[in-house]
Amino acid sequence: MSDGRNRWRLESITIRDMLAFQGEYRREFEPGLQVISASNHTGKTSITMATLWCITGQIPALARLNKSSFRLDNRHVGSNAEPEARLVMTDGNQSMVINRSYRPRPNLDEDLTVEIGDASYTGADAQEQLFETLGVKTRSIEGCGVVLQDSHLALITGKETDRNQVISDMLGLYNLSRLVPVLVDQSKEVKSFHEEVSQYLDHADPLKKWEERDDQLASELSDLENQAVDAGLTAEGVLEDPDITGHDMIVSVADDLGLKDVPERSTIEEGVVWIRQALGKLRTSSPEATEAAKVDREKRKQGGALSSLKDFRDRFSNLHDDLAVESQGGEMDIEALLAQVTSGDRTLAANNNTRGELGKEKELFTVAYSHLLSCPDGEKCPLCETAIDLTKLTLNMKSRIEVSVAEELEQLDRDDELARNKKRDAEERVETLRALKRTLKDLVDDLVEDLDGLAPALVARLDVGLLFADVQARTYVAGELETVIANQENTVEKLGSKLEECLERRNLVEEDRYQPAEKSINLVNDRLAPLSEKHAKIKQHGELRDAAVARNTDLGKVNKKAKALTNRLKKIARALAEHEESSATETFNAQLPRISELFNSISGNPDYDGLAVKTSVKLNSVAYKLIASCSDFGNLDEAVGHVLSGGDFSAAAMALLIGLASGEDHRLGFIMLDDPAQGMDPVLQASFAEALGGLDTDRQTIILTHQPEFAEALNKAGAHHSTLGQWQGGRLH
Amino acid sequence: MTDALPQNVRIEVKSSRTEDFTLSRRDIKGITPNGHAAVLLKSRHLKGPRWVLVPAHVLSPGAVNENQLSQLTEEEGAPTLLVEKLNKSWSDWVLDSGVQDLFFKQPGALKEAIEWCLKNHPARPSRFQGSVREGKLSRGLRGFQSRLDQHVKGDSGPKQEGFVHQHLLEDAFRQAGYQVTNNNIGVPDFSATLVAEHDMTGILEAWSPEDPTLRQMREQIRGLNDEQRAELFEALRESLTFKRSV
Repeated sequence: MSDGRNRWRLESITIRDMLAFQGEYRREFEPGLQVISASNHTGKTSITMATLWCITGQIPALARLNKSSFRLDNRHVGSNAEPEARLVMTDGNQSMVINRSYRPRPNLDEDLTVEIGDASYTGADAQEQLFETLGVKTRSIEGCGVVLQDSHLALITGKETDRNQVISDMLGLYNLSRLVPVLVDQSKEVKSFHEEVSQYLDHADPLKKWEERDDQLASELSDLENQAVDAGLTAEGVLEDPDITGHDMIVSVADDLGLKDVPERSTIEEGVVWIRQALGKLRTSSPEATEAAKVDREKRKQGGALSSLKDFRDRFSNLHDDLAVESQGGEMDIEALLAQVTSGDRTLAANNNTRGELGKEKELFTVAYSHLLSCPDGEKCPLCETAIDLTKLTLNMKSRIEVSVAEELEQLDRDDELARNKKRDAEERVETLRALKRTLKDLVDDLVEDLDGLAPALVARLDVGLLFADVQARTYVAGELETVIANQENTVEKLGSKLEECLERRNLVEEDRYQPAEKSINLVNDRLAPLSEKHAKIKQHGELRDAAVARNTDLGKVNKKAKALTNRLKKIARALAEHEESSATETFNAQLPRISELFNSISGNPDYDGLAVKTSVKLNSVAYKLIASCSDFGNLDEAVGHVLSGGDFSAAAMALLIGLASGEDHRLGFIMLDDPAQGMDPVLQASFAEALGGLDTDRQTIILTHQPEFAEALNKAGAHHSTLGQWQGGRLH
Repeated sequence: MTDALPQNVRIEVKSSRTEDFTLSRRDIKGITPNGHAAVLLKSRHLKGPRWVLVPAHVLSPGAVNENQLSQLTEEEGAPTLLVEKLNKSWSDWVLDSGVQDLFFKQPGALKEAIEWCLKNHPARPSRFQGSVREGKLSRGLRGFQSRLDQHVKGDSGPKQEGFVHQHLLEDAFRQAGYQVTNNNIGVPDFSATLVAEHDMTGILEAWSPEDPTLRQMREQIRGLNDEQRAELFEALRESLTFKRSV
């Protein structure tokens, strides 16, 4: 030990529900050389791996273990398993107890406790103290005094990459040896990105479409400008900013029209809406338009009066004709006709009285006749005793009843019929005359209203009663009406002329002022507004294009950085690989005498008296090659590499592993070897056992083997010998 | 980048029909240390067409494209305000097809034609801004180029176009208030000096009019105090700029 402190050796390991062990298994270790022999599948590798895991907390990255499904817990225990391991070590002065639990989801704070003397640590602190105390490199899981069978086998039979990985791990170059491939991969990824982006920038030409659209918009703008010039705008106006030109034109139109308060900073659309509304108001409120509208209204009014007069004239004429016809049909005096009705009523009433009297008389005669028939022999009246000719009286009475009364009643019916007819005729005539009179009154009322001061003399003569009764009065009115109508026609005609004059004046103003204004406004709206819109599109396109250019530029910069990064990563990877090689060479040089000595003592081959390790950088990773050497001839290099026997190669590999695992750079006073004599014949095994026996006696050397001959040889070399026991039902007994 | 107008500038003009330019060691040496290469960028993606003034100290001999030159203008020392003024004047001319009509109607050599145009028919200022201006400018520039190719003999269009643009650029410097000294041979193509107030005084002192009224006016001006004279010169300068822009 370089700092004078003692090295740590193993005292015991306790394993529960882990790897091959179901339940708890405890193993004590002896100081010095010892061999634990056991058959295959009895837990030798489990002890080795548990020891390694206790110290480092890592599961070895070995090919046969490095699967996602690999777990340390014993599979027979089931879900109640609480896999854990307890390793007890001592440096002669104080002890160290490492308790580590295994869970699918690790939590270092709960999984690890370390007691060193009286001090106790948990979690990351415990791991740090552990590494610090033992002098073990972080993650150097295979340089911790434990030589796994797989490491040995990897050196002997594995692929070159496996061998390189095992040696890198043994050298504590774990991080470097894994970082270099990562860097190389990253470098490839960045290079791929760079190539992809370069291809995109070179071939896809991402700015080309923007340029094409740019040209298209400029061409469309030019077309619109030409169309605007063709439509009447000046070239100067078109080539000016359309918003400014539009505003100027609207201001100019407003000035021409005498409009004020043109809205400032308005868009073309807003300006056009404003000026159109203003122009519309101007059109309807100008003196010319107002006068024309006034005359038009008067003309319509007088025209309407004329139509009414003509209509009245026609209706009056018809009524006049009807009255003339009616006057020929009889009485025109309604009162007289009503008197006729009353007379008829009286006649009918008188006839009714007569008819009643006749009825009474007839009834009396009938009664008397029946009386007379009951007194056929009477000669005088039984009441007044007047002499009567009863037979004659009876016959008269019968005749009177049957003929005279009947005739009188018939006459009465005829009189009634006559009276009723007369009455009905009178009533109907009254109705007719009344209707005609109402019509006449309505006509007169209408006329009075329509004339409304046109003909006061005429109006004064419009007496309904007189007109109804007097033909001359009606004739006079008809003549006057013709005069009034002629006057009205004259008035309407004059108004028509006046209206035409007004309209002509209004049209002149429209042509001189409003239509040019309208044309200018339409030019602004139809030609400048699209130009303004196109300008806006071009501006928007420009902003988007600038953003695209910026993105493209940024992409170019990123690509440039990617290229530089690719080269930098390659250089870093190369530098790391070279550094790794340098570190490895340095370590080998320090350990080489010990390794060579061990190799010589194991192999006993007279052709070789040393072992060298040649390092090189291949594809950014360090490659190691074991070379036997001879002091007489130097390194035998490739030629001897090929002729090394399997046993010699196994011996060389084991010498290398033991040399590295028990090196001077940590404070581990033990070395644990799992089946180290594989591939060795009995002679080599004996030499190997003897060499192990000749190691530093202060160092604890624990060998686990399934080879009885090797165990025996070790025993002979002074090793304490024990066994693992019998394996039964998944448990050791 | 700076907003101040530089007092003295030496300019080597570069224009090309492609997006590539070549700068010789002699070009750069001629404008080092404080000169500029005036380069006409035409790419719309670089907010062109426009002139950029690339400081000599960021230039290297050899081929360089528009994109690289555009990035170089962002370096320290590019006179932003000056470039803005130059581009405004130059682009007004390119956008004014009327003044170009006059230019192409002029008989004789292009040199006389462009000088006559610039003297007698200043371009009408265009109020277009941003992308619309750039788009119109690009189209106008292509149109001018096409007309020029038809106007000149043989394949000399590109060379003559560079000549015209250099004249337009010189005129733009004058409009920005510079006195331009043309260098017909060698590098730089021209030098420009900002005309300051004291130079106006020198001009006044050197002015010897024959007309009695003007002589009287000269004496009156000489009689003004410094403050009054500065105000008068400022008004004259503004008047001159205004006249050229109308």
